[in-house]
Amino acid sequence: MALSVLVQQLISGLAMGCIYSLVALGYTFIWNAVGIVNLAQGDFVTVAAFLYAATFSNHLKWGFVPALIAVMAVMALFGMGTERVVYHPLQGAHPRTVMLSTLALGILLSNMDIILWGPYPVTTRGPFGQDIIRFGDVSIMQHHVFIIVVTLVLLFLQHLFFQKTTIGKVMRAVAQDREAATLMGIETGQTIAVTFAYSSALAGIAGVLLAPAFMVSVDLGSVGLKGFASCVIGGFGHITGATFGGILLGIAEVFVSSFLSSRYRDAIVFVILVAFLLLRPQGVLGRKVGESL
Amino acid sequence: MLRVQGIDVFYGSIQALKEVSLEVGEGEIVCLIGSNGAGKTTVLRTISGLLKPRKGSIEFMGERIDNKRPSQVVRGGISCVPEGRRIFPGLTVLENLEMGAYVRRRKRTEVSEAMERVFALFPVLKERARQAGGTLSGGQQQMLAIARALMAGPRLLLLDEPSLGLAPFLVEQVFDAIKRINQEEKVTVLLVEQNAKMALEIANRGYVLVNGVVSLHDTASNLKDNEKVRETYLGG
Ligand SMILES: Nc1ncnc2c1ncn2[C@@H]1O[C@H](COP(=O)(O)OP(=O)(O)OP(=O)(O)O)[C@@H](O)[C@H]1O
Ligand SMILES: [Mg+2]
Repeated sequence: MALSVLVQQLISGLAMGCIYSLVALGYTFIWNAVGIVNLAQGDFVTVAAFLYAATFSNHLKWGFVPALIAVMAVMALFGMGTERVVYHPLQGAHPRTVMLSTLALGILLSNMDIILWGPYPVTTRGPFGQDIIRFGDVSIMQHHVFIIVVTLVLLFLQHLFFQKTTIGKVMRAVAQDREAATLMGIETGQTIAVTFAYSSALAGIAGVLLAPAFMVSVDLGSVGLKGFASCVIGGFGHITGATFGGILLGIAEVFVSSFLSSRYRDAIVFVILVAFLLLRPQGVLGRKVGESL
Repeated sequence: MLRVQGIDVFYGSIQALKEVSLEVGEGEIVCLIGSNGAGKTTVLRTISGLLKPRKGSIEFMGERIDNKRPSQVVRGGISCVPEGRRIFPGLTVLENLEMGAYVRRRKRTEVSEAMERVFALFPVLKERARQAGGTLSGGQQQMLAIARALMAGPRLLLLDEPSLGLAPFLVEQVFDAIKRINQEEKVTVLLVEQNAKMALEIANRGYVLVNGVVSLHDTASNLKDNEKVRETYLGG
């Protein structure tokens, strides 16, 4: 394969990988805080993509930045609502019960997408449309570069947030030992609501970044599975693991589809997922998968 | 200062405490001894607001606290060092202390003064300030747990088996620190222990809890001489 093609593939794999990382991080923070896998995470991404493409961008004609902020805000509120309705009332219940209720929410959302935004896929231009940058004989989608840059900036800000701010530290403390945090006078219920808000806002960013690169339809929800696989690859509950798991998966996917056939693009995710679950359930970076799964 | 009156506490349908009453006066060290499963931790969890008594009342500084949330209890001046230390393993020593000061995080000068005082009490924590809590030794973790509780500036400190799993010389150190906290920092102490010998050594008074019932209370020196206590808790 020519070097130029290789570079192109790598960039597009990285871009998709970044999206998977964002989805994976969404799972991770909720998992760490309350020991639940939010099975609606992929559908949150779809809702965000529709909100951005159909409502804010195509209908209201908002610019990219205000639309992104608006989607994140709506998704954050939506995350808090989810915590109130889907998680909070079931706190004493077995994690499996709570996960079933998130599964139900996912089904509800994918149907709601169709009711609100219709059954046809929506396209939107995004900040760069189909524009391409050329370096010699390498041509790269500008939007792919944009996805990578936005994700890197976000990961940096996220790092600062969790290391430097009080609320960030409080969120870590609550995830590590909820009862001890309660004894410090921390309102752990509110902290968990913030965690849900943040995870949903991450799904919001993923949806907004995905929308210009794809037809927006309920099928986008499949990134939920890919984000999940990314978590498994990196080690469930591991923040760095989730990030690298996503990127690894994104790159693996493009290369498999160019070396074998694009028909295997989705199949490979299942293969990797099952392989990891069987052979290395603690993921690349260690730590066992919780028993509640 | 603290008055627990006739509390009944349940886990589901299992009764863990029956009509438990105890008092702690300002400036005292009071210990609560009892064997495995007697209900000692349950008493502290109830005072902290993690559990609600089904019957009875808890007063602190003349105010009912049994209907308050844990955050309000901490703000009111009661801090707890939980059983098994329960430090935040992934947070640095400094961050653990910051979490301890959560209820007064906006009073910067108070917090840094408190930080200096706990470092004076446990110099090893200052050396390890940037290390993750989980990497400390058991003794250091216990010191961190105590320091973290002090960061809230409590008037009453609840300690749940601080000697658990520690080598004898470390137990000595921890108990020394508790005595100093009581004498120098003027913090009243309610100490739960299975290590009755050590606890009665530093306490003014003690309560003996058996199967969720207070079976005996007296001054520490009388308890040390008490036949039954000697047999059951002091190894004859
Ligand atoms: N979460 C819980 N659910 C049900 N029962 C509990 C729970 N926690 C404690 N118990 C029961 O309540 C009783 C008192 O427990 P508690 O932990 O207060 O005892 P303890 O005196 O602190 O014991 P130890 O010395 O082992 O720490 C025990 O019989 C215990 O089995
Ligand atoms: Mg106990």
